[in-house]
Amino acid sequence: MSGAANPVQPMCPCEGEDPEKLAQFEQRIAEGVHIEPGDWMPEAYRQGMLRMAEHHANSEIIGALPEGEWITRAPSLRRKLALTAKVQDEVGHGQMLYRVSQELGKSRDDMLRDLVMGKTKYHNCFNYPAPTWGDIAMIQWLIDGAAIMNQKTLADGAYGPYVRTMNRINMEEAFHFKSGEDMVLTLMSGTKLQKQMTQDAFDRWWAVSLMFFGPHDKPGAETMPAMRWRMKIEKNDSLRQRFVNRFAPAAKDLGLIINVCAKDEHGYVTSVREDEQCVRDEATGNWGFTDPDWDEFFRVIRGNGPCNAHRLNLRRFSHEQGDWVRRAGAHGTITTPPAA
Amino acid sequence: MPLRDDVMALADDKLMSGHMQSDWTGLGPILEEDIAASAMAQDDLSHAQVLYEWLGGDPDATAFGRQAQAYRCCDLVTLPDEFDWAIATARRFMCAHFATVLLQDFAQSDDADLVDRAARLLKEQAIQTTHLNAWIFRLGTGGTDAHARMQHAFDTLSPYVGGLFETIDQAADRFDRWRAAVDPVLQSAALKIDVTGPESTTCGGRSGQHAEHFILQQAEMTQVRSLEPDAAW
Ligand SMILES: [Fe+2]
Ligand SMILES: [Fe+2]
Repeated sequence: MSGAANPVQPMCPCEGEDPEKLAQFEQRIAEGVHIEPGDWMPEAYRQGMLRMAEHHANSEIIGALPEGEWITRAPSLRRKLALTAKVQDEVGHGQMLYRVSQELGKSRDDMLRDLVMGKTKYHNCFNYPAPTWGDIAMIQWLIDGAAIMNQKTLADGAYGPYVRTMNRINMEEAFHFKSGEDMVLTLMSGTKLQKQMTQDAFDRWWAVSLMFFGPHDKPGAETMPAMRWRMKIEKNDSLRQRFVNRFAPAAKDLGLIINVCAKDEHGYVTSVREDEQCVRDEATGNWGFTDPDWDEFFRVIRGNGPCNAHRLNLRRFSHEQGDWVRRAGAHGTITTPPAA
Repeated sequence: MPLRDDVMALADDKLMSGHMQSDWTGLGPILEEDIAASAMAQDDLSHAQVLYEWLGGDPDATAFGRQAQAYRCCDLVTLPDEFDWAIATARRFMCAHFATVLLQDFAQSDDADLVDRAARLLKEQAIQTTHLNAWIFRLGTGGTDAHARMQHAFDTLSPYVGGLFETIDQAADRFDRWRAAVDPVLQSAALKIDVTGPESTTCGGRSGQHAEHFILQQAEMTQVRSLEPDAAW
């Protein structure tokens, strides 16, 4: 799951870069030519792409955890299989994206270690709790849905290996989204308890999905290197609006109520009121929505969200537990035992 | 009916080993092996489903809707691995070879439908055993620390191996075939198992006398479904 919303910091201008090469590089990007690992690129571009691909890879790996915790409790063979395969896909996405990052100059070991040491970040949305099966349905519907929207635009980017990886990943994300949609539909067609479970989970995840696309864009975002060099294709606010236009009416059709919620420090909803802004503007065709709590967003990004410690501790534990296997594997490539 | 009983025993083993191993998805020691092990866990869950279908009734009701005593898996498959890859790998290796022995016999049975199903499953089963054989060799020969961890895992699991064969038809013969499959691999990695023969008593999981750890796993597995047992999920 999970696109890399906003890991791209505004970069310093390309001081010290050869102006002629820089001009050619920007010309190629303007012509829609893909940049490949062996090509000349400004150092700021290489670092920016690395930061972006690494952040995205980290998000896939940490993103496997909230849903992974529900594999043992999935309520049917079909759901258990689909959820296991889904989480497995996310690990595969992480693997592919670490490969893209490796080519930009950082080893996988270093990236996995920096992740568990808290030196690098992953997507904010995985720092929220998933206390019920309804949350698993919501993650696959809303968060995978948001990830597809973001990643489809990233597939129009300029860096060849990242673009090709996005295209591969997006096919699988489409399955995740379909499965999420099917889960939500099944639950909303079910019993009172199932519907309530789904509404409660929707209340927990709606604002998180709005935050998924990152904070409001700074003025002049389109002229910053991230967009000029097509690392980032679409502005956060326009992606967010597209998401609301797609999901607000879909949620209402399913019988879900779009609420503005207050949450406690554990990410649990303490009070709700219906979002009166969530209506379609006939003039623009856009659906309105109440802006999520951006103070909360920055609090969680700084490490003080409901599940930051829990997610990171589990990943670190698994990394440490697996150390001996990686060391044993380093003794040689895998071979089959001598025939009996 | 020994054949039906054996199919149920293997189907429940497959369900619970798929359940235990799928829990590792996203937490494996190496990304590539995380993915491969998860694929095998999914195979195990699918194999359970294929065998439940042959037994008749709704596979989900069989998998999730029974009382704990009605399950016929052995205690080896649900023994907690405490997040130890050595235990998880050693267990999968022993269970995969046991499954192969039974599936080979199912593929020779008089029931055409079962023959067909077993033949299909055997193909995926062969991929599992090849992969696991290679990993037992790799870890057993992967240095002193790795070897010690693997030997410790086999020492921990050995007392439960007899339970694989509890209530199983032709246990002695099948036990011999199982040893013939696992021994060369273990020897190649200088690993030992201390197992003398199939369990003659019937006092374990296959008779429905489950260990506490199975009861806990089964409760977790059925937790969501039992909120609304008759609803679609
Ligand atoms: Fe993904
Ligand atoms: Fe996904």
